[in-house]
Amino acid sequence: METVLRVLFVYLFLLFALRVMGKREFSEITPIELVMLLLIPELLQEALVGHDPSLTNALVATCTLFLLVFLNSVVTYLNPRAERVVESSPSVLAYEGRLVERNMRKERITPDELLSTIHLQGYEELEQVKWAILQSNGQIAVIPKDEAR
Amino acid sequence: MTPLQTWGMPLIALLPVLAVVGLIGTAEEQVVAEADGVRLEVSYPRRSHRDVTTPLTVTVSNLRGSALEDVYVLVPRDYVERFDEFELRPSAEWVSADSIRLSLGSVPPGESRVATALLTPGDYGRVSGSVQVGSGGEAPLVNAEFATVTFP
Repeated sequence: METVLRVLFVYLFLLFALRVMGKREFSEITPIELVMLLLIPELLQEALVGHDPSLTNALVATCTLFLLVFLNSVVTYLNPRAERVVESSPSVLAYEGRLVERNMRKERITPDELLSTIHLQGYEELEQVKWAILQSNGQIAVIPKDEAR
Repeated sequence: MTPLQTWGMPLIALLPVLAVVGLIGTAEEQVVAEADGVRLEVSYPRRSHRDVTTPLTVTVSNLRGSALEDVYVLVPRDYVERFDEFELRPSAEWVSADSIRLSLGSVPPGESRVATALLTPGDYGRVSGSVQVGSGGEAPLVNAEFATVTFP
């Protein structure tokens, strides 16, 4: 019982903390994936399973984590509002060759950082870009204007 | 959901649910015996797990009007030595071929004394035990039996 509560608490805490940290901190993997990667090794640690390092307790903890991840995916699939709470929504950083500075400030992305991403996608100028969107997983999607394709 | 998830997720959910309702995991239970004005309470691990230390607590209460002198607790060696590690408090007074004897000294009327064994199992399976309590050179006055099952 205690193990289930410990895992639940740590899972919710990490979800909250990663959500607060913002999208850019996890540009390679989604926050949910990071929760998994952080938690699975820790589940086998005494700190998370209390004073019970037994196989049964480790399995209870691991199954609890898998169950929470599954429930999370079900809830966010069925309820878009819950998805917005758990996972951040995409932010438009540039539109029709112009920076959306309010969103860039909010996401703490500098113009140089955005230009660097645009260059990596094979475009020379911001004017060639129709949309630059910061995705929920922290990556920036660049959609060029028709004439730049 | 995929067909695999349809039957697989309930299986994954089973362990946490069983843990929450208390059907798996370490469990303690208490057995009480009383005879000749001596009350014996044994709190023992009904379910334990390998390498997890659990206490066995023996409380002896004197319900008589006079003091109980030289109170002793006998625990069978078969039970205690089934555990890889055990720590007895107080320490054993003596050990015979069958049992370990702990001395609790004198117990005044209406008072209690406690003996504890910290047990860490190294093997799986069920082991039966008992605790006997006596006074002075007399045969044991009261006896309580129990069993511990060790899981992985």
